[in-house]
Amino acid sequence: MSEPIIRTKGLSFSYDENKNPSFDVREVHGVRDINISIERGEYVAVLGHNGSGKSTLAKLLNMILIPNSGDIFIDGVRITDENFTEDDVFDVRRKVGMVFQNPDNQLVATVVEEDVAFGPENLGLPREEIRRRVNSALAAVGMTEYARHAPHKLSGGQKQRIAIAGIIAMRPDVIIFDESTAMLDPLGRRDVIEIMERLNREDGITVINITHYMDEASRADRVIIVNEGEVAFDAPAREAFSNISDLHRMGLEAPQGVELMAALRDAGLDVAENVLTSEECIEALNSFLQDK
Amino acid sequence: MISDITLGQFFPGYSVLHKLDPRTKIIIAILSIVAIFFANNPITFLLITIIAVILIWISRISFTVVIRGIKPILLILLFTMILNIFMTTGEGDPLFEFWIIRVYTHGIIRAVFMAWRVILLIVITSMLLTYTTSPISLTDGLESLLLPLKLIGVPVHTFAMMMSIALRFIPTLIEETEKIMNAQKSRGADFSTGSLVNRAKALIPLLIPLIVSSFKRAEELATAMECRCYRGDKNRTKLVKLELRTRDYLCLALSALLLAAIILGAILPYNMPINIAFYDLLFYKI
Repeated sequence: MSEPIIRTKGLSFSYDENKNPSFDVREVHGVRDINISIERGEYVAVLGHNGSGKSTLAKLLNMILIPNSGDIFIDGVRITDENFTEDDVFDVRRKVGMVFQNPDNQLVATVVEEDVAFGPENLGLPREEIRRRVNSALAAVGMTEYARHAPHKLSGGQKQRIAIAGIIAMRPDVIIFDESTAMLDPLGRRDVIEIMERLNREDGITVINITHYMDEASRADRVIIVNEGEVAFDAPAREAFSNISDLHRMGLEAPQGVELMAALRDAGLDVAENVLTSEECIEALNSFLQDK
Repeated sequence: MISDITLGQFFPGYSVLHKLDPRTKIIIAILSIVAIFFANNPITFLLITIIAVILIWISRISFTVVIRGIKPILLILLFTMILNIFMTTGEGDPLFEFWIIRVYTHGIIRAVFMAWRVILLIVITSMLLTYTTSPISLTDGLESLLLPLKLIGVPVHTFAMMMSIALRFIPTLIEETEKIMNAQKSRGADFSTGSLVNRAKALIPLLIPLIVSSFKRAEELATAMECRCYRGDKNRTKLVKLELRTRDYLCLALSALLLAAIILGAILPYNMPINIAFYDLLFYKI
């Protein structure tokens, strides 16, 4: 097997309360002894309740935060090396792109295409190449016609698509979506999910979706559950949601279909167990009702 | 509501003035300011006024808009005129005298031209810069023009980036201000009545959340920019590169010629009297 794109070994990080600026009112939580390995082209969901440390984990992976102990390997390179130079950090961030929660706070320029160009400009690419990448990235998120618009006039979902285009244009190996759908309406959410899945399927980009939406997580190949800064669970999506009581204990819920089937079984009905998505749930209920 | 406020009053369009490189326009604006301050007789003022009218005409921006742009400075104009009328001493007898105030004809003429000078200043610079140049290309132009200052250690790129981020976030912050205002109003806050002091105090619950959230935004934006490999202008390229075209060189050359003409028109008459008609009128020293 080839070297995984991301591998961590005994990764730990804690926020120093004293160093934290007082205006940062978010609850911040570190992580403890994280050992994960993500292969190229995987589609992984990271779940956890607020403050579980899942965003901290993401920020460690592209060196926004530097771990207290443990190692991270990106594409085989140990990024926790003490002799890491600014250029090395640059390379890591080029490989691992990140899309954040609030689309407003990620957009830099006053024109959509100039914002998408921001990353490639930082990479120092020639102008023709930047132009090509901007055009193809905007096409990939279906925003070509908005190229000359002002970002503040777009909807939340559209802004988030621009933010994604800005990352795609850098051609990263991995894109981490850090609760990128949390502030969007259902339509915007669906668009973003579709784009991330297409990137994964068609372009082979490794997608890590950090979320607290169960239905999003259930679409991934693999689910990592982070609880109190530790990896509580790491398995294919279907297994992750099989133990509902564990999920509840960690302040999480299973996808609606799974919850419904469990509730029906608890009520003594003999419905199918192996249900994950809403479609499967409908099918299982149908066949159950027909058997009657 | 407040989101209708447009910054710098940029009017998008496709006129030659719009298409000129921002650097060309900045340079021409500086040349114009020099010219306006050199102008000291009717003929030079006339020339500059014609230039201003031509600028308005080719920009296809309506005269009403331009006149509206002058409104905010009416008070300054008035002040300038009054000062000039009362402070200027002319030759011959004063037009009228009252207590310590003496008004001369020269003073009145001077006041009119001073006001006219301010109006020209505002009209020409706004035609060239604010009305026809988007804030972002103005920033780009400034960055490019100030680039030589990098040699003496001035962080030109950083300033330009700060400028453009400020421009980018103005609409976002206006939106947020409205949101917070509505949230406070819905809890009974009153922003529009009471004494000035009370109204100023009412702004505190508006400003504090706005400032706090701006800090949060700044932090998140900085992280997002780092994630997108931003590290200042080190090895950075640009999607849109400013390029001087033939029309830029033509306009620059034309402006230089006009400036020379105006300077000549302002200096020459007093060094070598020329014998032409209406000399006294055209070259009346203001």
